[in-house]
Amino acid sequence: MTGLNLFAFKPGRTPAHTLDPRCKLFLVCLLGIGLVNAGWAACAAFSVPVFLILNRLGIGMAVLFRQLKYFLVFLIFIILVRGLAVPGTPVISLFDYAVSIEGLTQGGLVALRFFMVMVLGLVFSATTRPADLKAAVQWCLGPVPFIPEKRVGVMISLALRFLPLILSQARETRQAIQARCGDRQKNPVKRTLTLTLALLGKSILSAEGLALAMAARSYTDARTDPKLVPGGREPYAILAGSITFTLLVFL
Amino acid sequence: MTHKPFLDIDNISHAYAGGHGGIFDISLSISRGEFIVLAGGNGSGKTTLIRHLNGLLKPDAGNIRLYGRDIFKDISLTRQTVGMVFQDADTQIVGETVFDEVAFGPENLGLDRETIETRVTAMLQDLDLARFRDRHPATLSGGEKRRLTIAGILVMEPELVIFDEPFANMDYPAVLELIKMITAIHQSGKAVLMATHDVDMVIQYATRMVIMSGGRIVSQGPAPDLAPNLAQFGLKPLCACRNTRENTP
Repeated sequence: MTGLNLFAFKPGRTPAHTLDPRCKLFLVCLLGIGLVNAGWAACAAFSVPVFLILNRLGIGMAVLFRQLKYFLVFLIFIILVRGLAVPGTPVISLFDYAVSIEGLTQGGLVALRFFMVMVLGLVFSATTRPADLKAAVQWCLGPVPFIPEKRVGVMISLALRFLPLILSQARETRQAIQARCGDRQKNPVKRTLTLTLALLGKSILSAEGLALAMAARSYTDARTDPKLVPGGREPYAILAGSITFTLLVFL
Repeated sequence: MTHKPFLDIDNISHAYAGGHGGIFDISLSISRGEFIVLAGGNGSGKTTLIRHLNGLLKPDAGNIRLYGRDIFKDISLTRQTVGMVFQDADTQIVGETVFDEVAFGPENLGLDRETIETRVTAMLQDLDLARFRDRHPATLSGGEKRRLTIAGILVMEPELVIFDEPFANMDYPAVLELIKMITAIHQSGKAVLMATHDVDMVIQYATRMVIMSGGRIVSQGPAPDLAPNLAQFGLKPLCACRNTRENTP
């Protein structure tokens, strides 16, 4: 049995689950833009409802940090680079280089924004059925000329479908390499190449199998449209709240 | 009761670039209610042959007719009538939830949303998958995934269901469960064609056995008649375990 990644849909009946997917898609874009300019207070205010939803989904902080560990390393890297690049009161000095408090503060805020955008995406993907996401994307792209919205919808769903499979294959390939003492290879480029090439080959084979399986079930662009379940009145209230939040952040 | 064949394969050949593999001069007819075991060793051409039956591959020579019409005249009808369950369940599954996976075929047929909902719900009930409706297929066990792939085919209401090495990577209880499901499909009046190199598990249900070797049909007929000669075609003889034990000094 294959494990799922953190971003996979988790069934539930929370308000985040039942909200109109088109509204959710719009909200994610809007709040994402808002977070780019958010300060400490705005990020803190934003984190309250988001972490409440995560809690309802059964995603605790420990799980969140464990699953996002590589992303957190990236954020720490950003903070350190900022600390080194921005002049100000030094915290640590080594030769000609100094890490400043101002730099660390700025880096911390940038990292927090990135983190909140990631968590926002996580809440969206964990509470939106992939079919609803597909339907919402198709609905949004429908009026745009020269874009095959149904094909885009299938591409999105296939990407979501393939992610756990690729992760599982990566895990298996890594274990197969380790089982033959592959971890004794100290050159990181060679190690990465060995894993990547094997994984790429497997992924291409899987994609070929999938294309055949889709053709075997009469895949065509002229498919039945996905079902959109419109929400009640609550999307308007939530949208109004989010627009106000974004405007406040920018003002 | 004998039925008139609905799928006729006339002298088809398909060669791969480089001259390795392929199938040559294959002729076969399939009638409703048949249970055909297509047996052969690795590289004998079983998969190549069955991929021709629902138009995934086009023969270099010969033709295949469904209800008397070339299968490529209406490829959607062909793929609806001839359902194929692939060897690797993981690469066959397209949907992100169990419901979406089963609905994929009917959506391709352009059925209306209400019919899709009714058909998929009934199929999930029939194959004991209803409780997994919103689950991601990756979280299912091997046996459940196999059931899901079968549901995704049966929901399109095919006349012939093709299984390509269905017992690969399955444990014994899952194999037994799968055999039960396949025999139920056969008993519901559909034709079943099973490509396998391990005939021991299903030979008792077969109404006909077709043996392939080197890309050609080398023998076909009632399963009991062919059973004693399996070893000469590179297939595991029936009850091999018992024979081996008796022959061991």
